[in-house]
Amino acid sequence: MLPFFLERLQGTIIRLEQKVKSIDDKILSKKIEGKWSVKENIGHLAEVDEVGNKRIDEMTSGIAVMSPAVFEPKDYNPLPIEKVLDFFKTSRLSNLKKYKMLSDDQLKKSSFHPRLKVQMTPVDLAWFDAEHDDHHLVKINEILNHTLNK
Amino acid sequence: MSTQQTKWFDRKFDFSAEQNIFPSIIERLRGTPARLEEKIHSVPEDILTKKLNSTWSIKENIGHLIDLEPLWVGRLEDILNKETYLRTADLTNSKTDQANHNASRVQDLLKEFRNVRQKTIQRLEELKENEIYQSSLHPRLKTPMRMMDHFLFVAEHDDHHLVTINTILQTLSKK
Repeated sequence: MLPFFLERLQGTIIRLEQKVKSIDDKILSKKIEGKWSVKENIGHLAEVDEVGNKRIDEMTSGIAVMSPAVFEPKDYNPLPIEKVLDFFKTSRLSNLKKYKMLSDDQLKKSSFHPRLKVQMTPVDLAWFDAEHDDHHLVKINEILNHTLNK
Repeated sequence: MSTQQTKWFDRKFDFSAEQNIFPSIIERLRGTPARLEEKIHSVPEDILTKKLNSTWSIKENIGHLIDLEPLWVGRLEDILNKETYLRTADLTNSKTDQANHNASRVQDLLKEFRNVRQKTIQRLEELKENEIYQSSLHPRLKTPMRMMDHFLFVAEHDDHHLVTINTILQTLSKK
């Protein structure tokens, strides 16, 4: 199933780019009711990918428990959206490259996910991150619909 | 990495989700036109129409997604109308085989897919929460399919053809 999950992970880059294209910078930095802005949602995905990259190494090296997730993103709001998107694209492409280089044996190795309390292989992580992307794309949509429909 | 793709009719699906994941499914379906456009922009015409081992070309894969959209929306209506079974699909895919999508301009195929998908998304966004959990039986899988399951199936079907297009591009780039 890995080719399907990698295709989804690859597709997030263009989906994000299309979603924020021609949207005013003020809207992309806006926090509604204290929640993350569009830029913070994208920055969070990039930070999660950095952890994901580390987790792939941990799984393939036989580390028992993988690194914990990241939660509160840095402040991406002062940055231009292009920089935030570039950060995401760079970290995503790096992860995709790493996934594609794994051998069939490495794809079967697993570590324990500390929050979900389950063993995860790199294939499970790719699926989980694709679902996580969709969750934040929905959040971004909600922010844009809320702001643009006012 | 093993790149062997599982055949569509051999795929197993897990429709056990109790949580409402419908917003994420809509978001996946909304993303397919952009993913397709990104994938094939700047791909030369001879690659877009090339049939490897008599399988569908890239244009035919895109055309197939267009051809199936009325089935997906028809099944949405079947569930809302409380039909016992969802309407059957043409498992021979004769519509795509006969459509000659290779003769169409790829820009037109992409535009048409974006249009039909946008109409589907609008329909999905109008559904009430209780309708997301309504179900009918899938005619081939013989399992109850809730609205949410049906459109997860559609999102997986989109991905299947995006991966198929990747495989064609990778195979031809090695030649």
